[in-house]
Amino acid sequence: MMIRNPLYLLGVQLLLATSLHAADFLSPAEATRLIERANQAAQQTSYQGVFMHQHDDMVESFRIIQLVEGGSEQERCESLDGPTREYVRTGAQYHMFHEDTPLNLVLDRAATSRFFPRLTHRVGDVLASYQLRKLGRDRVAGLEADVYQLEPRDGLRYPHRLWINEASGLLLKSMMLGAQREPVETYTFVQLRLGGGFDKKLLKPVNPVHPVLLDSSVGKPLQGGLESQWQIRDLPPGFVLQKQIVRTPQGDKGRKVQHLVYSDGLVTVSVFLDPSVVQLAPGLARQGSLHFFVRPLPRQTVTVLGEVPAETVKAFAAAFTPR
Amino acid sequence: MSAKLTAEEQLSALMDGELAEAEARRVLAELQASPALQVSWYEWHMQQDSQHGHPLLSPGFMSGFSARLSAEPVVVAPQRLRPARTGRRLLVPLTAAASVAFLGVALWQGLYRSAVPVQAPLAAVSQPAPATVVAQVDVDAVRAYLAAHREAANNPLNGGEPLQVALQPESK
Repeated sequence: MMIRNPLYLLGVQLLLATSLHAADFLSPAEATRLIERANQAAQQTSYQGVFMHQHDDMVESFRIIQLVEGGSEQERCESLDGPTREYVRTGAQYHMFHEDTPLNLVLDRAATSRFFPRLTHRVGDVLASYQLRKLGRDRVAGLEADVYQLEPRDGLRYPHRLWINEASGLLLKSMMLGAQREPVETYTFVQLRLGGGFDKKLLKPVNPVHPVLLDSSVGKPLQGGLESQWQIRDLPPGFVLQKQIVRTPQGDKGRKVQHLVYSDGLVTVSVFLDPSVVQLAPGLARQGSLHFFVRPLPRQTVTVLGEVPAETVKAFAAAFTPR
Repeated sequence: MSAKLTAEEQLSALMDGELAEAEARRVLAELQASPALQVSWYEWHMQQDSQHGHPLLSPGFMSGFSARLSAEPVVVAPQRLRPARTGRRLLVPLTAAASVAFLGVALWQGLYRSAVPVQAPLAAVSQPAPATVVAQVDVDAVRAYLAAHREAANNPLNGGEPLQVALQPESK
């Protein structure tokens, strides 16, 4: 496309901006209803299908089968490429098999959210950071879909696009977009058959699966004395501590790196509090849509990363002050 | 767009598809005129290609490239869609099996509960580790952070990333 006049570009942008304003934003009540319905449908609909997950330069596909019958929910999902991974679910009990990792997994209960973009917050709280608007219609896996976009209310996160099948309420596809509206991460059904008329043998695990614990402990305060070591204030709005992990770099058992995981309900930011001087250049770095910020302090380092704009990682790094 | 960018920075921005049409044209003209810039352009692509595991271009590529470049009035810049140019670029392949650099154990993980960050004071059981500096090359260090982040951010049920960091209890 040849665009010679910059004024023309500006005009196009203005036009886009106005049409964006005129776009149909859903009321909070409508938006909540829509997302909750999608969440519910994901768990309480019988279907079988294949979905694809793309993240940066990685693509994986999975077969998923779910049967909801007489109040009982059964589900099986297996990876179709790469290392074999499988889980089966009966009600709230999960069994998993991972060929590539030792399985001593305690699952984050939030991870069992059946809403593709890893919804971890209550819908209402997510809608404090994002606004839902309707974009139009599309077709996914042979089914009709209404296309919506979760538009961030500030410059601290990226938009998410959702394809929802109206008839079933199912989320057929979801996509996180980057700063230039390029797809960063996509989940999409490539094949989907609604209804339960399939061989029940398909629900039986084909690998030696093991039960997985779901951690139900609800938001405990910071541990490991972090409260006394760090003053945390002015975190970017909407982000809430999701979990705290102590990490030990390989071959350096003495070093305990605190890994704090924050989420705004859709996207995750990691903050690493390292009691040592890290061999990384200070300041901002990025890769694709991922931003990385290193803030050296005397004898320690704050490192922040996440698939969020640069301002967000900077704000996180600035929010941590040693006491 | 800052006017202070060096020719190399502009070339790098062009490579990432971050320049406006007019500017891209100007940089391409500079590229056409400067053999030094052509070499940079070639080397950066080679570097990226090798990072991404693509086969390297043949050594004779540059001469062919230069000939073509001077023959053609317009070269279509490879469109790498990237966010606005800020900070340094990391060149860390994510999907390559990472050398596991962190072992971790979740102290707690729970459901989202309140809209306020947890601020409650807690009896301090501080365990300051010796401030040892670990000699790690950048890429490995960055990769360790990335792997840890992804493992924490992803949902193993929805087939997040391959779990590169095993969740193992710390050895006490």
